[in-house]
Amino acid sequence: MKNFYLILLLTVFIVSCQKDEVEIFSEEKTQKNVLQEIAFEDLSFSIKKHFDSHHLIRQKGAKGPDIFGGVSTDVPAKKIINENGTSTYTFLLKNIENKASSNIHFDNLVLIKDNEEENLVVIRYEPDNDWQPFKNNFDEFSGNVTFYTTTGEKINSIYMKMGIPENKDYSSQSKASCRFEFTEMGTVCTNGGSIGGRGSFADWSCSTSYTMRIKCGGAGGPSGGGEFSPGDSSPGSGSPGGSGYGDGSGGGDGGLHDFEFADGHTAPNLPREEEAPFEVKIDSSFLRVDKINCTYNRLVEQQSLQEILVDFFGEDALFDLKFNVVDDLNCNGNENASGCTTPLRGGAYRIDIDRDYINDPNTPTIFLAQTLVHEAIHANLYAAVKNLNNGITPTDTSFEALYEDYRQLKGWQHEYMADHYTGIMQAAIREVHPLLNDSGFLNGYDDNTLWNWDKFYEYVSYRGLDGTTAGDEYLDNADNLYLYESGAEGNSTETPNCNE
Amino acid sequence: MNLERKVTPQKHLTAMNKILLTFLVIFFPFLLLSQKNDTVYIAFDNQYEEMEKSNFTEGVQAGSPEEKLEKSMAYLIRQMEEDTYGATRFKFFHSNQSQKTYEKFGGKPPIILKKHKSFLQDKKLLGIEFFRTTPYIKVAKTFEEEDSWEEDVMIFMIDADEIKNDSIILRQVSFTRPVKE
Repeated sequence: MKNFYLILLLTVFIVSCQKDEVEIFSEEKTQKNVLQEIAFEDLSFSIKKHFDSHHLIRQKGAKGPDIFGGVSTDVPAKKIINENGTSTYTFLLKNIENKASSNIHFDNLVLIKDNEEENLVVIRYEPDNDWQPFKNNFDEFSGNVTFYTTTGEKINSIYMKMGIPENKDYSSQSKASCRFEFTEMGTVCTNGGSIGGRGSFADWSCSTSYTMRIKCGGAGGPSGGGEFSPGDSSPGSGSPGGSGYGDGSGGGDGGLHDFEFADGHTAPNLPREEEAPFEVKIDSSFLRVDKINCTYNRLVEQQSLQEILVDFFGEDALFDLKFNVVDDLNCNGNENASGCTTPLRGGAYRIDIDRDYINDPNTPTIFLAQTLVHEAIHANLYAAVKNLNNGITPTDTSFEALYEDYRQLKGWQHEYMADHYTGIMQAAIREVHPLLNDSGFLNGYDDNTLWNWDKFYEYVSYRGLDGTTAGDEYLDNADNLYLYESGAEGNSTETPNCNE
Repeated sequence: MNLERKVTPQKHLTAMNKILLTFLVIFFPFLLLSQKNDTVYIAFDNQYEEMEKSNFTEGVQAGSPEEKLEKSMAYLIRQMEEDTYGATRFKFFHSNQSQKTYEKFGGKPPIILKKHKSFLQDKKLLGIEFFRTTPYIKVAKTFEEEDSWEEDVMIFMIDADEIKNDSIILRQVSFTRPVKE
C-alpha cells in the first residue's frame, strides 16, 4: 500500500511536470512580437519554397536577369510573430553587382505570412558614410531605405537620419500610387520581453522595429489601406535594419483597392562583420550555369586552385574576387573573349567567363577548367603586383625579382604565365579532371600508344598562351597537339555533376 | 486472260520499297547537306602563309590498330587582325575516329565526298581573300548561330592538294575559334 501511494505520488508529480511543459510550450507559441533567429536549414518547406536550388528568390513567369542575390544561408532568418497573428521572416540577401545601386548596400527579403497568404518585399539599405554597419546600431541608421518588389520594381523609398524617417520619395513610384506612412517605433527581443529604448540584458537580442502603413490606390482613385511595418535594430547584438511589407499594387481600373493588412514588425538582417572583408564571391549569373559552376566547385575543392588564389581566400584575404558569367564578353577592348580578369577599385577583381563559350557543346569541360585556372592566375598576378606596389611582400617571394624582367613586356602576364605557371596549371587540371564526370574520356585512350596524359595536360596548360615566346616555342614543337585537341573536343563532353 | 497485268498487293509493296530506296540513294547526300541551315565551302591552299594544315592520322590510328582509318586533318587559317591577343588561328578539324570510338562516345564520322570539279560551279567558296579581309567576329559568325557559339552550318574543306584532274574531295570539318582569355 505504501508503495502504491509512492507510485501515485510520483505519477501525479510527473503528470504535473508534463503539464507545465505543455503550458510553457503553448505560451511560447503564442508569444507576440518575439524575435527568433532560425537557421536557414531549419526553416519549413513552406518558407524555403520561395527559393530555388541556388537560394535565389523563385520568380513566377519569365525569368529576366537577377536583380537581387540569393539568400545568405549562413545568416539566420529573423522571425517575428506579430500581434495580429502574421509572421514575418527577414533574410539577408547576398549582394550582386547591380546598376540600380552601385553604392554600398544591404538587401533584405521580407516574407509576411499569415494563414491565407504570403507576400514578399525586398528592402535595400544604403547607409550614409557616417553610419558604419559594424559600429553603429540600426536605431541610429542614416541613409536611404528603398522598397522593391521581388522582380526589382521600386515601390517607394525613404531617407532616414539617426533612425528617424526624414522624407518619403513619392516621385518615382511605379506601383500605381502606393505610399508609406511612418506610424510607430518599437523594440522586439529574443526572449519575448520588450525593453524601452536601447540596451539589452545578457542573453537578450533586441531589435528596434519600425511600423509603417502602406496606402495604395489605383490610378486616379482614392487610397486604399494597407499596413506595413519595417525596421528595427538590436542594440545588444548589433542587428540593424527595419523592414516591413507592402505590395499594394494599384490596379489599372482607377478604383479603390483595399490592401490586405500585413501588419507586423520585421528585424533587419545585415551582414555580419566577418563577412565583409575580402573574399571570393560567386555571382548568381555564375551560379545558374551548372556547367561552369560545378567545374569551379570541383576546382576549388582542390589544393592547387586554393594555392593560386591564396590572397583571396580565408581570414587573411587581401582582395575581393568575383566570378561572373557574361554575354558577349569584351576583354579590354577585345571582343568575344572566352575569359577575362579585370582589376576594379578598392582591391577587388572580377573574373568573367563568356556565356556562349560555356554553352557551346563543342567546349569541353576540361577546357572550362583550364580557363578558370588561367583567369585565377591572372588574378593572382594582379594581386602580387598590387601587394608589391603597396610594400607588401607577395605570397610568392620570388615574384618581385621576376616581375622586373616582365613588367615592360606587352602582355607581360601571359609571358610570365607561360614561363612560370604552366607546371602549376598542369597540376591543377590533372587534379580536378577525375572529378569532372569525364571518366569516358579518361579511360578512352588506354589502347592508344601515342596518347600521353602528361603531354595532354601540358598541351592544356598552354591554351591561351599563343603569341608568347614560350607558348609559341611549345606550340611549334610539341607532338600530337591536334590529337589532344580534337580528342578533348570530341570526348570531354559530359557536364560535370555536383549532385553526387 | 492477261496474267502479266495482275499485280498482287505484296508485289506492289515491293515495287514501292524499291522506288523509296532509289529515292533515298539519290537524295541521301542532299538530305545530309540539308540538315543544317546552310553549307559553306572553303578553298584551302597551304601555299598561302595564312593557311597551314597538320595530318594527325597517326595519333588517332595508334588507338585502333585493327581498323584502317580515314585520315584526320587540322586546317588552320590565321585571322586578319594582327594586333590582337591570344590565339590567332581559326581551326577546322576533320577527325576520323574508329567505329569503336563512335560507339563509345557517340557521334559519326565526318562526310567525305568525291565530286567532279563542276560541283563547285554554282557554289560560293570562301578563299584566302575572305579570311584576309573579314574581321575575326564576322568570320566566326559565318559558321555560328546568331546568338551563340554553336556551329550552325555544314562546312566542307576543299584542299588544293586533293584536286586531281577533274575530281575534288570535300571533307566535312568542325570549326573552333582561336582561344582568347
